[in-house]
Amino acid sequence: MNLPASTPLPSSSCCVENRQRIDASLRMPLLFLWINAVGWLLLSLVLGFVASIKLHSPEFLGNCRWLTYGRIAPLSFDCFIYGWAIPSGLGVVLWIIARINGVALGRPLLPVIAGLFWNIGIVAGTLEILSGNSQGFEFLEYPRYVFAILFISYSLIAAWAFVILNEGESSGESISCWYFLVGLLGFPWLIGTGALLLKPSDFTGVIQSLVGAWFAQNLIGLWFVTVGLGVIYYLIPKVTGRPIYSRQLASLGFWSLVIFWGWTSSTRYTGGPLPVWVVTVGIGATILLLIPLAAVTANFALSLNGSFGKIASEPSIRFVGFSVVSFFVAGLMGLITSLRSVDHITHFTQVSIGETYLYLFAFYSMAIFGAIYYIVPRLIGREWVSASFIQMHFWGSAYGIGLLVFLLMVGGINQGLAWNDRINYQSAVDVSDALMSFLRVSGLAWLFLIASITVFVLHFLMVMIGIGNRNNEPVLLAHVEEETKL
Amino acid sequence: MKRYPLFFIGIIAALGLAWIGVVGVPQSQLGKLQPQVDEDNSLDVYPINGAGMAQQGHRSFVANGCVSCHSQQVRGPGSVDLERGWGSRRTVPLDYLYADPIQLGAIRNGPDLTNIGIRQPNPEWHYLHLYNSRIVMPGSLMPSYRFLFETRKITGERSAEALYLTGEDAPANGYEVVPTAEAKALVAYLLSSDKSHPLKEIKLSKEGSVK
Repeated sequence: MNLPASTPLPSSSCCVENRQRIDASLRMPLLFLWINAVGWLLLSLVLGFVASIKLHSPEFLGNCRWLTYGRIAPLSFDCFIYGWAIPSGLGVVLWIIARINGVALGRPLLPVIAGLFWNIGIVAGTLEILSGNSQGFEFLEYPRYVFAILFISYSLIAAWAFVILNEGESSGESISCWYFLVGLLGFPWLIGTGALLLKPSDFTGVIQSLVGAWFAQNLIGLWFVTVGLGVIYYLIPKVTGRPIYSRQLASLGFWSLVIFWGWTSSTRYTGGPLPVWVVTVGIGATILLLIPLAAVTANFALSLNGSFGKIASEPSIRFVGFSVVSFFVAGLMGLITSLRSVDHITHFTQVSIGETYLYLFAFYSMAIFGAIYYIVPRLIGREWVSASFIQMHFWGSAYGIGLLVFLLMVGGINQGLAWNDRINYQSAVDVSDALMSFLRVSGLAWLFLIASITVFVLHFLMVMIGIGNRNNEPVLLAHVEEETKL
Repeated sequence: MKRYPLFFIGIIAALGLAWIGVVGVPQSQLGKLQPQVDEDNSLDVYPINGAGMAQQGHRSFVANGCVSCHSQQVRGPGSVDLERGWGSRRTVPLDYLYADPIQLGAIRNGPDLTNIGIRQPNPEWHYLHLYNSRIVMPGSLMPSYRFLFETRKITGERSAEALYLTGEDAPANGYEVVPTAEAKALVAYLLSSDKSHPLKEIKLSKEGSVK
């Protein structure tokens, strides 16, 4: 492909002028993608909050067909995944790939137009779900035409990443780029095998469930995990100023993840009407995921070792630190709950929703926030306005998601024990009573999340418009004490 | 860049193999599944491809996301499902031959519905339960699906379909609450939910395992 504005400069990643040229080329597309993405994130959280209220007070907004629990609960996830997570991650991936390769984006307007169509697709999908046209599979609720719109818009944006990779020289050395390539290829592969070329209803009976599980499980593995880890592998050396501890360990973690993750999807139907071997294979693969889990988190911990002071002061690495811990917890929880003896209690409960939020929010979104805090000042040449806002965002999100996951896990275990105890919990009402107090408190966790993201959105808008900038010093969290006194 | 071709082949092989393993192979194993015919005495065929009202009701089940809280799968001995009376046997792939889209479900905020048609065969109960579940199940957390009903003025005689509602739920004097076509279809679907047909494979194989 010919790119008029992009002449690759092999040794130029260190050249200030080239960096500025790259940032200038990406400014408009990234800001467009991110500003829409955070809007969808906020909507997703509000829907999650409303759904959590409906779960314990069913008459809340009870007469509205469009807002019934079974529609807004899946919609909250779809807005999160397709509205927030994928476009925001795509922006981060584009910027990191461009910077690593020292190549600027050729035609910045094209990704903006593609991003516009992406958002139109999400609006259409949202209206379809609300009006009762869900396809009935997890994360695959949108009708096929919506996935077609998403696929085309995605390709138009992701293509630039491949153009840059093709022109650049240094991607092979970058661990981040390995992960990004899997994410960039994995997403269209999933949409192709789950929604476009094939879809669940092309199969009969229980195979539909396997296709649905394949899609949902691999969306988490092939987008959330790969992009999230790629971002962390980029940010840690940048912020600490030291390389990743071990490339061999990184390579082991990468390939074992890519090879094993795809086989884990059937654990979503442990005990269900499927051939037993399918589920056994899924459990085996989940246990083998211990290899990438240990390799990756050990590598991160050893790379951060000695730079823990940065976690206190640097906003981006603070978020990344939280994300690394969440990745470890999510992997461990996934491993434990996949075992048949534990699944016996946790299957069909809120525990599985808690695990999803661990990956989607506590791991992935926190890494993306970290990346956005790192990138925005470089992208638009203005520093963040206030350390207090970043502190509020971080602690609100950390407490919010921590509390939410804790409640879903503990509440879910209670729920599972109650279902299994037929003597003391005879009816479904008895079981839901056992879950009730956890559900009521979860509203608080949602409010924390909504508040923290509202602060983030306002802060983002302030930087974008240029309100409240006082100096060009990077905002460090360690200075927060002084600042609140001002 | 030199390493890329090998790298790409590795990635594509990993993704492709996994898909073949967890979708392709099960498809080749189960894709040609045929309904069971009882040759002994009755020539019963199971399952039967449902049509009409029940199928429309299935669409309503999907549209309203009932699967967010209700599963449609009965696990075998060793689980609580049989003890809770959700079925007389575990469900197997054959039971879902004509389920489209299949709604196995992964969350049980409410009870399993695999055999709800035989566990609760009374349509009146289902209408009241959908209108306001707390009428028949005090303390229930199920949403009210009042939008599946119509409140209308009684013209002439009270409709035979009208719900018997008392207290707060009762409509104003001279009005009645009747199910819409969608409510009737949904109830027809629920009443048709019956996976109790005896299966050869379950008698033959050991308890709790499917071939």
